[in-house]
Formats: sequence, C-alpha cells, structure tokens
Amino acid sequence: MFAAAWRIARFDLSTAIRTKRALFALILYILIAIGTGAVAVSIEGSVIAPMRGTAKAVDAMASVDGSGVKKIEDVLVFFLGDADVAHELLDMPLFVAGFFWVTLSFLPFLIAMMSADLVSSEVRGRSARFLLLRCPREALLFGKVMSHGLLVVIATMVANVALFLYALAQLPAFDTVQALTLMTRFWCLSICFGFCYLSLAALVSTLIDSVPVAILALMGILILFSILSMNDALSPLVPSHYKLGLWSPRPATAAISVAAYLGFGVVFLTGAWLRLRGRDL
Amino acid sequence: MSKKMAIRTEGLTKFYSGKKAVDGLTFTVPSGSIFGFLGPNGAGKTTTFAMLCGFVRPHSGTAWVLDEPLSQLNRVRRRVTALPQDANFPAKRSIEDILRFYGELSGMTSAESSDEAERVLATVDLISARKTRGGALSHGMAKRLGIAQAFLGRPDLVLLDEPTEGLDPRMAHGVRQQIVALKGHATVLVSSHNLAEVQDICDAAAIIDHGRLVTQGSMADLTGADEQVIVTLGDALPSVENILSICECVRKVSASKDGHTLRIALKHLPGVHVENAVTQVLSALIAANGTIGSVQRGGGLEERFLELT
Repeated sequence: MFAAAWRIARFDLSTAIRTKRALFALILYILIAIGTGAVAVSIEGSVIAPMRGTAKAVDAMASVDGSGVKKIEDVLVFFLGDADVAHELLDMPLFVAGFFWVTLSFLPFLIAMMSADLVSSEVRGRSARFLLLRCPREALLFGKVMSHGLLVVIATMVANVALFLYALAQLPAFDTVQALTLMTRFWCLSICFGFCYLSLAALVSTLIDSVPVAILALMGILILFSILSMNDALSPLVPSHYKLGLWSPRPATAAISVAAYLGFGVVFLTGAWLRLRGRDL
Repeated sequence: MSKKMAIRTEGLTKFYSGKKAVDGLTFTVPSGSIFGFLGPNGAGKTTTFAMLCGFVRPHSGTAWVLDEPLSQLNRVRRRVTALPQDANFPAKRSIEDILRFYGELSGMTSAESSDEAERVLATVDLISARKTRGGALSHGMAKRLGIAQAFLGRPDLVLLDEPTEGLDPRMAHGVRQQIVALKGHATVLVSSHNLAEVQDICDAAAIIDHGRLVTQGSMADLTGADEQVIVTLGDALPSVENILSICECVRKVSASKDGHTLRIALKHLPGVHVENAVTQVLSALIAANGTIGSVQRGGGLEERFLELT
C-alpha cells in the first residue's frame, strides 16, 4: 500500500506543479512570506537592533524599566497572555517571528486553495478508477496527501532559505546560529501545523466534489475555527487554540501544541479515509 | 467437477436515487472464456462493471472476482484490469507517462512499465501520439488509450465496457483481434451493443434487462446454432417439406412467403453432429436442383436479443 501511495505521490507532485492554481497558491505564499520577512528584516536593521543595543546598555546599569523593549514586552504579554512567549518573541530576530506569523496565518488558506480538490479532482473525472484498478483506496488518499504535503514542505523550505539568505546579507549583526536554529524549529512546527490543515482539506475533498464549494467550505471552517478559539469553553476543540503554544520556548507547551495539531490531523485524515472507503467513485 | 468461475455474482443490487439500477443480478463467467455482457441502454451493465471493479458498492448481494469476494478485491487487484466507461485521464500528462505510471502502480519496474507502455501503445496505434497530453485526446484516442491501459501486463481478468464504441472499423477490428488473442490466457468480460461483434468473438453471454438477468448461456445455446439452420435459396423450390422429409435430422421446415428463405429446425440424433445434419439438408436441397445462396446456423444473437429484451 505504501509503495503504491508513494508512486501516486510522485506522479501527482509532478502533475501538481503543472497546474496553475497550485503554482499560484505556492508563489503567493512564498512571496507573502518573503515579503513580510523582508519588511521585518529592514525594521530589525533600522529599529529593533539599535533598541536592543540600548536595552543591553541600560540592563548593564541594572535598570531596564524605562527601556522601549520592556514596553513592547508588556504590550505583547497583554495581547498574548503568555509572558514566556512574549519574552521569546522579543528575543528572536523580528524577521523570524514575522515569517512564522505569516506561516501560521496564511498556510491554512494556502492549503485550502491548493488542496480543496485533493481527492475530488480524481473522483469528478473518474480518473480515480484507473488508479483503483491497481491500488487500494487508502493508497489513493495517502498518496494525494503525501504529494500535497511535499508541496507544503517545499514551499515553506524555499521561503525559509530565501529569507535566511536575505537576512544574512542585510543584517550586519546577524546571529546565524540563533536564526538557523529558530528557522529550523519553526519549519518543523510549520509541517506539523500544515499536516492538520492538509488533512482537513482531504476530508472536505472527500465530502464535496465541486472545487469552488470545497474552497468556500474550507474558508468557512477556518473562520469558524478562529471564532471558536475566542470562546474559552470551546476553544480547546479547535486547532487554532493551540497556535500560540507553537511559539512557546517551554518544550512541554510546544509539545502539547504539536501533539494537538498532529492529533487533529489524524482525526481529519481518518474521517477522509472512512468517507472515501464508503463512497462510490 | 464443476467448472471454475472467474466471476460469480449473487443477488447483486444497486440503487441510484431510489431507483434500482441493478436488481438482484446473479450470473457466472467461466474462467478462460470470452464472455459477452448484453443489455439495452440503462439495463445496468456499466453499474455491474463498476461493482465488479470495486468502484461502486452494492447495496445488497455480493460477487466473487477470481474467487475473492468484493470486500477483498485488493487481493486480486493486480490480476484484474478494466476499461471503465467515461473515465478521464490526467489532463496534464502525456499518454506515455500515464501508461508508465499505471504500469508501475501495477507492480512493474520502471523498465518493464516503459516496455509495456510501448507494446500496448503499438497495439492501439498510438505510438506516434505518445507525447500527447491526456487532456488533448479526441474521443477515439481516449478510447484507444483506455484499451491500451486495460491490456497492460498479464491480467487474469479483463473487463471491457463498450470497447469498440466510437472506434473506426479498422481499429475496432484490431481491438477484437486483441480480445480474441487473450483467449486461453485470460477471462474477458465484454459489454457491447454491437451484437454481431459479440456473437463473433464471445464463447458465451449473459443478457440483462432492467438490472436483472434475462438469460445466460453459450453462444450456440443463445443463437440456437445447434437447433436451427437458415438457408437462402437462389430460386424457390416447390414442396420443400417433401424434399427434406428424407432427412431424419429435420424436425420442422418453414419457408418465407417468397419461398427463398427456409428456416429448418433440427433434431438431435445420437451420434449425428450438427455439421453432418446441415450437410444432409444441403445435399437434399442440391439434389432437388436447388441453388444455395447462403447458410446460417442459428437465428443470430440480434434476433434472440430483440426477442428477450
């Protein structure tokens, strides 16, 4: 089954990069990510770095209360409700934070646009029938998820590397090791995060055959998740609730978020599998 | 010992929008045969094919394909190929890429799948179009590619839904030759509206109507090839019944109004082959100065089909 899924993934990946919609979504994501990161790099170079220098000097005099950094941290604590995350955010290069923020904000929409017809594209034209003569339904689903997952991995990696090289060239006091470590960490977290939404797209694509309706449904679900995450009682039931934890420097908090995203991903994917197993193709 | 069956169905039933597309269908396809699957439009042929391939789930009843129940089709997946109806190929890929991909998915190595793609493309005369993308195929080319993918590898069972529909006569002939060449190596289930074609290439057939089996049997049984001979005379002969009364194997003779066409019902005599009976009949007619225009054994599948559906 896995060999067949891998063959489908390879074939589908090389087909997907020939489709305008997938290419458009990927390029859009990469441009937004790099654009936001580039703006952050310039702010980092002109505002944050001098501010950090001042903070260090003030800190050396054992009085940080009046520094701009402290004020920003207070604001972040107010909005995020987590002092550790606020501190971590201030401590990391702004472009890394900006880049990860873009990923967490736009990746679900990128996936919705790119993968809304992950399974239905094969069902609508009945091309799935040629595959099902040669492999089980599970291989079709996992192969398609794998190929779209690889697209997400590639897109995030391209954006990561491009931004890293840009920051390296633009920032004189660039902490290469810190940036590289953080970007690698956030890239891995992005993949777990993306898996959840890709599985959701897979589920929707087994339920809805029309592409525009599937995209609208996915957008609606993403908005619903955001709304529900604002409700204290219901928020643990939606993936958006665990987004903040991905920023956390505390391994346990980050691990809970990663587990939640993987868990949601498995639940959505199981739903997609059950639906695909039972339906006519 | 009973004959081995490549396909067995028992009470196969499928509804679409509350309407029965297939209604308790029970039939068998003997292993190694070329088996015709006939029925008028909407009789349930394509739905039955789709259930046998595992594309759609029956609402009730079951079937065994190469001795595996439908729920375990994965076990025989690489031994069964099919030409599904109205299925599209990936629009962005060349037909060569598509066939190689299907070959690899069937368990072939990359080299084997390339060789197989080349072979089957040649059989459907698509070698020169190998770089054409799936989305740019004409109806006829798509049909030929569908047939090509069904002939990939060495399947034990091939299900062909309307394989020659939309093909030009030369290509249709080529496809029929390919099907006949599979005889002895694989079981082939063919649905077609071309009854002459089915009569020509199939050993046996099932006729369905309104989702139900109407009849099933060998081609000789269905056409009455062993029961009846139709002779067209150049000139009408007087008192044909008397002329043929000397033949022990003749059960009944009926002549057309103009006396040119004779329908002669044969009776089975121990030790007398049908061929000998036909020779006796023709000898008697020639001895009475009759001239023979044509001879046809049986009434023809079309006649039988029209009678039953």
